[in-house]
Amino acid sequence: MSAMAERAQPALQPAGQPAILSPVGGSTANGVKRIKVDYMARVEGEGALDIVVEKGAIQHLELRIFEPPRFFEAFLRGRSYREAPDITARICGICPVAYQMSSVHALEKILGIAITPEIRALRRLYYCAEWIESHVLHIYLLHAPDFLGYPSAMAMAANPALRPAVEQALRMKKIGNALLAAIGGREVHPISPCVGGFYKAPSPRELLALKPELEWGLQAALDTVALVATLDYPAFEVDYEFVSLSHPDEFPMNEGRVVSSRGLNIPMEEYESHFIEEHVAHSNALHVYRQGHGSYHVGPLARVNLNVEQLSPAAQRALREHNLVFPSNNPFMSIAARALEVVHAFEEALQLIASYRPPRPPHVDAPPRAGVGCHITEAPRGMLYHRYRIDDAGLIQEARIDAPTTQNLLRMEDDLRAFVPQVIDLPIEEATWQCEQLVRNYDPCISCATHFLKLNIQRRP
Amino acid sequence: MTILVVGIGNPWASDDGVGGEAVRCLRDRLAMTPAAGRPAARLLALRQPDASLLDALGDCERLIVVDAVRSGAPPGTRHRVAWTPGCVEERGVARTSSHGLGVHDLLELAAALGRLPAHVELWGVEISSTQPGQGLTPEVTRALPALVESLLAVMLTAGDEASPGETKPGC
Repeated sequence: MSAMAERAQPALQPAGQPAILSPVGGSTANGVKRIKVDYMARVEGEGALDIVVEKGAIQHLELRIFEPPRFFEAFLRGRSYREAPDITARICGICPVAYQMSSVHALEKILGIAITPEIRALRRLYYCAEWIESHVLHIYLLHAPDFLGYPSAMAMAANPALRPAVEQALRMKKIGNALLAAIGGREVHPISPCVGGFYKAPSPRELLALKPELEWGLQAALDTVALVATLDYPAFEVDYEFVSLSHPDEFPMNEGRVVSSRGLNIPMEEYESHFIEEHVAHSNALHVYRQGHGSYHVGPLARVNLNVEQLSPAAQRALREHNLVFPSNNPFMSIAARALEVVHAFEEALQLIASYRPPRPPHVDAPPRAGVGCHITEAPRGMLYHRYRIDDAGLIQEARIDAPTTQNLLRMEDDLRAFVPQVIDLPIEEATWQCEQLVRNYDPCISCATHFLKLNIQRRP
Repeated sequence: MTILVVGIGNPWASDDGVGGEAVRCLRDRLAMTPAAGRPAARLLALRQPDASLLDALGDCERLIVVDAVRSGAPPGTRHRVAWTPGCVEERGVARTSSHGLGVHDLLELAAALGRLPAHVELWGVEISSTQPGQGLTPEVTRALPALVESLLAVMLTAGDEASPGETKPGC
């Protein structure tokens, strides 16, 4: 995705030219304070934050998303349903599993495919891999520097006291990637998952080979909880509506009902009746709100708050040992929720590998038939909704994708409105940093969120 | 002296793949060199910069990263700079990729972790296209043989050099 564009401009600095100044800044003039972050760092994709406070009141607040629209929903039209997991995996380099899982489940509903228990288990293992690699990256390389007062993970790694933590993070992420590659065929934009299951299932030996590293990873994940428990969390609470999947027997990944902290409890099929997607002028990403309620919060904090009792035994012990209290209305606690989910993912991955039986055949087939199907799975950043309409030949006629960051965008703006008065008297650089940190609580993936822009051209004679 | 040459590039984005293509050509070229005269080198092609670069460093004493460059010079122009922490500006890197680590981030991180060898160089080829599809544009293709020969020459003489020879200071 962005990696290619980034490397096409490696930006060797020509001799004699000054380095570009930091784009982050703010100003205070005539009683008007302005927090301006032209390019949000340590978030995926391109977004900007613009806040104007005058006489103590917020006059203007926009989280602008100018990552170009992605048009994935349009790309899907006319393509075979079999291509949906491959095409949608390209939406994100860090959470392709989520896109594959939401798409295959939605399409299986249309085709009437019932997957086997073995495929179901392998999909959970696959999701564990993605949670591990995505969460570890965010906890250590993107979010921890905020709490520990470093501008970047590189600066953090330069401190000998923190270097082992960064080394640990790199190894943990590598384990997640290795597990993802073992199941998906490769770690970025994996190729094995298909509608009905997997084109090829890994052998038990391939997965067992990862057991020693996963065991090390579980201990490292517990150490991560211990580390995040020592962080200094800004005092800030919001009366959120948390929304996530919930399942009676397991921590939610691929299945469950949509529940919220304000009593919503609906089947996934009713998502669009309750959650409304709309375009706003300042953003290439759509905003989503809950009908009659407004913004809501999806992601690890929502999942842990709503499903804390379903966390694995090791995660439960870690939670108690370090006096972490959930449910929590403090968005900065998302780093702790992420850390607990990493423990859960390592522990469940070990269990799934111990009981692994390769699905035979690796996928269940069914002839195409016309219909509409939708599904939600829990991406690392929260609920990911897909809906497809296909025709008799299995060609996609319509697709809708609500990424978790799309769902959180409005919530991020609301958080900032509540948070800015708390920090506006700080030096402007400090206030700016804290606002950025607030946004990074959501691990926003702006590339995922910018997917659709309705263009209406009227031609008149 | 053990040299690690890492070519980075997406082979499906035309000229962006020049780094990987250079490594492929270098590998072929080395295969034609008599075993006795082959330099102690490891070659690695990455489709994108990722943490496997950190793992590949091992105990290498010199690292050469070959990548696509856009600086405004004519396509096919070769660049060569010695890398030191902070010498490459962050332009475009911090804001376009957090989920992945860019070349800049990887080198800074490797330096912070004390994993970088003493000599690190960035070799670049000015590109003209990153359009989807395999194959380099003619200008970039023409730059490859000389690039490969230069790499080979550096590898063959590395043991004799106290420091990288013709390298321009990067900053």
